Amino acid sequence: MKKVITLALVSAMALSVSVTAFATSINQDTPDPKKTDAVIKTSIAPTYTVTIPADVTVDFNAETTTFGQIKVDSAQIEPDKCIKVSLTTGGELKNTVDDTKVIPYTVKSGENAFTSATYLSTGEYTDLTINIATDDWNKAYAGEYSDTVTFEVSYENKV
Amino acid sequence: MKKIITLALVSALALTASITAFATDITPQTSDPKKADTDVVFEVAPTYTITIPSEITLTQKTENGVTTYEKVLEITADSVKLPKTKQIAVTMTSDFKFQADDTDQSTVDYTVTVGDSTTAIASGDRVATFSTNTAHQSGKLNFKANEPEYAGKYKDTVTFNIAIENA
Repeated sequence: MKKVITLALVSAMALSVSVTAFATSINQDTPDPKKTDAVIKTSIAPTYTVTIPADVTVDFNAETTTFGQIKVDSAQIEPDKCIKVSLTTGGELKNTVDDTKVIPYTVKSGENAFTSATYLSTGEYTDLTINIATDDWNKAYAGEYSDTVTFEVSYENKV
Repeated sequence: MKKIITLALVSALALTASITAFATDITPQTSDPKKADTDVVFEVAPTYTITIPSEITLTQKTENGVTTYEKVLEITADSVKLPKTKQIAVTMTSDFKFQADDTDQSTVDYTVTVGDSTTAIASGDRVATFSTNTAHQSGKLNFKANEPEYAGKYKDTVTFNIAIENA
């Protein structure tokens, strides 16, 4: 099951306020030229929906396991901003019986270890994999192992 | 003695003449028919009050899955009293582009229609006409922008011109 993070950053000025507070009156005594300006405004609150990978099971001896995608399902953000997704991981699968017994792993995007990525628009994505070296498999004790990774989504200024 | 009397009569006449600006005197010597016309004149200066909002904020509207930003701007006229052959014309100038306050200065186009019309106006077009009427009058302008690509705060300034013209 994919985990969906939806954030609607609603500013105090967004959407709801539609009261006309001030007006200009022009009458026969108003000096010429009889004209006035009106300011027309609107405010669009930033919104985005990011999907992060769900739980994954790594097959025994698999050096590379597909870990799903980080994907921007929808985004309407300010042009000087970006959506940043950061990954925090301990880098070790721990044996559920004896957590001193571990299997090191790396989360990668392509050939590189993944730590973070930025996104600007709907549809952008990053494919991720779980990578475990053959030597580490060979050294591993039998049993079940698990770890939890944390994806953090933030709204930031473009770099 | 005679001199004194004459001076008094002249003074009295001068005083009388300074009070009456225009008048027709009819005496027994005036030809028949003894009549005179008097012009009765009064002037009613044109009056009117046109009120236009200084600022409006478009609000989001979603219909059939389509999102737009819309708002009605109402121009009102009160106590309009003009010569019979005259009327008040209100026109509006605009470039019809919202400017975002972001560093990239992105823009969003918008349209304006008048009343029930579905035809967008052009800059300088008439947006309201008011005639003599003691009742409250109004004209409505519909501002509409499509969903912009980027979030942010958008703003534009339009100018309304008021003129008295022949009806």
